[in-house]
Amino acid sequence: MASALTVDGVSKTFGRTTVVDGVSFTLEPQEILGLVGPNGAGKTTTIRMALDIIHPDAGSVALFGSGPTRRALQRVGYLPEERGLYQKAVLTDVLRYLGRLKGLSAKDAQARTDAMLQRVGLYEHRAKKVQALSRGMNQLAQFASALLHLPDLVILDEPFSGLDPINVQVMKDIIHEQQQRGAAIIFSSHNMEDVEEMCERVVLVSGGNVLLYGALDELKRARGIQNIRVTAPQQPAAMPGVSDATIENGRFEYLLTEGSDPNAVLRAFLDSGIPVERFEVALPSLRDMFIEEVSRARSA
Amino acid sequence: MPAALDGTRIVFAHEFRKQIGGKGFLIATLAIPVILVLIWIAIPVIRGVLEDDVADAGSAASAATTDADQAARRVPIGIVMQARDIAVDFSRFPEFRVYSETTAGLDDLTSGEINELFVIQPDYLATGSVEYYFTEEASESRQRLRLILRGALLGETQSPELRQRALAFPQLQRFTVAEDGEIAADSGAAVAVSFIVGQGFAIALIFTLIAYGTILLQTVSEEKENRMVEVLLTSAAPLAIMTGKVLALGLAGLIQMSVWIAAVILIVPRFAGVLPDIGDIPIDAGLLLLVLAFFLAGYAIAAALMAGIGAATTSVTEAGPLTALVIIPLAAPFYAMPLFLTSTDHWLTRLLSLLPITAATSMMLRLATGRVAPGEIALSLGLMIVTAALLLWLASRIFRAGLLLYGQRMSLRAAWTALRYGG
Repeated sequence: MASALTVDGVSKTFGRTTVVDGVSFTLEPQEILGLVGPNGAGKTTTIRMALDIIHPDAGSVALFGSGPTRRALQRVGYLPEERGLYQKAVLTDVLRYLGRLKGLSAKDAQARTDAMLQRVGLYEHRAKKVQALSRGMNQLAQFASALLHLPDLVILDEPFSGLDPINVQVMKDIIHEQQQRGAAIIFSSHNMEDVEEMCERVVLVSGGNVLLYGALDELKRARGIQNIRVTAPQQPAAMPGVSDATIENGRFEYLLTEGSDPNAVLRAFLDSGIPVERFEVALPSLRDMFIEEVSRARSA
Repeated sequence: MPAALDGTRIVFAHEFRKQIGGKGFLIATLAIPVILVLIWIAIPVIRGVLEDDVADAGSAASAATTDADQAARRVPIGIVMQARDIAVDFSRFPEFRVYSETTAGLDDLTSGEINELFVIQPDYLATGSVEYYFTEEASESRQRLRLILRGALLGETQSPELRQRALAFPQLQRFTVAEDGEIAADSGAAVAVSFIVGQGFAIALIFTLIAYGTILLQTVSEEKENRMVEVLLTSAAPLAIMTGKVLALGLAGLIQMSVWIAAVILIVPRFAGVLPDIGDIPIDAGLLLLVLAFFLAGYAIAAALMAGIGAATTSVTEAGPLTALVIIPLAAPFYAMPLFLTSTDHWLTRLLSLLPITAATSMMLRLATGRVAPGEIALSLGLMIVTAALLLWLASRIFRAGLLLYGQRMSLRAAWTALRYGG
């Protein structure tokens, strides 16, 4: 089966500024890919090139194995970061219209609109004008509109921004339902915890370049084990292979020097007769990797 | 159906429904007919009140005068009845003077005994043909004749053909009669109607554009303001979106204008005796089609420009004042009106007819006031159609590139940069 999206070495320059410089990645069906990066990294420009909204200066984009044709774009659901709906229109009318534009028949567009509004909990508000809805409801409605036509590729740019935890959970559940259905999903967010929770693979972009790309677990393991967390009443006087230690809420966190054995830390506790309640070998978080990689790239 | 056409159709249906479904459209569309009907109802009432005042003032003698006496005192209307298959006795109507021969009637017309002579042709039942000779025309005479003929035909039979003839307007062939008796076919009314048609459409174009061009500009601009553009662009081609919008608002404007024109044509003659009856208006269908073609082409150019402005600006407030950039050149030919009235072939009028933005108004004014060479009409219309298509394409490019203008003030440089880098 063809990849849902293949971005191959795309570049875009505005004036003298290169916003995207040779970015490549692929997205397979039933996969959630995290697209992360600092502000101005080129994420949105990359998405717009993937959707044929702006054309790349170099490189190519393939949707479902071919160029981004109108037919292929009909299979995409997109929730942009810069988003909104017709404020003076009735909610159900707007969604039905967007469904029709995505190729649904009038009957199907209405049925899917009703179903999606029910799924996101806005069905009872369907006859209201969009301007009468709260900001969170607006966002849920736009999220629903992106999924009306059961797209094979879903691109969500900062989908949770401004939402309360309950609605965030509703959205997360729906995203996983879409994944189960077979949709490939690009999830772009500044919240690294959300990306870690939702995505199997990530692309980290900064300054228009890809800094990290691959399966999240593999990327973490490739960086080596650096952190040890120990919950104990006290710590030994001497700790082998530790370059830094912090104490937080009765928990000790140690940063190991390169090549050090985590078991040596555990042995130091036990040899000192200190009971250990919890011992955790922690992989680096995406947030840690993000900060480290972006800082390194900026200082280079 | 190809995706682009499908996108155009869906955008068209959505925008058209949105436009005509609003209360504003309904109120604006019905306002003119309702006002005209109210005037129609009010006039007899006002007239009645005035006549009562006259009676109260003590004009009893004149009030006692009968209609027949009044009719008899007027200059009689000459009539020659050549249609033998219609049973109507005009001698029963004192305002008519019946002649057995056309020549006798024409003699009286020349001598000033009568001002008008109607000759009802032998084939009237089949063709409705009536020759109308006059030294001084009056619409009341034509109305009177029509009513009498209608009464006679309706009273005679229930035959559908006769009923149809009775209800239709007589087909008048108009002739002026000079003091020396010379007869000439009359084209005065046709010229007047041409003038009204051309002028009317030119004014209607400006009005439609101000109203619907501004709405179009607002809808495009709102989509940027609402941040809908990005979603729309992944759902339909920009050209399909723009085409759908231009067509939908154009059709809504045409419907509204048609209702207004129909109301004026149907209602105004009922209370304004100064206007000829609808059946008497010598409408030149060719002229009407040409004027309509220029109207539509003019709308397409101006609408594409308005859509382009809406796409290049970031808010409705910013876009509003820029509408003048379209309306002023479109209305520019009105400033040269004296030239259009006196010399339709002047180099300036010809130049304005070839410049796409001024061509619609210029051509409508020229067609209204004189003859224009077919080649010139074709060239002007062709240039307009090509320009409209190019402008629509450009507007759709700006619409897509406009994404890069979020948060920036509108400037030609910013628009150019966006167009260049938008791809």
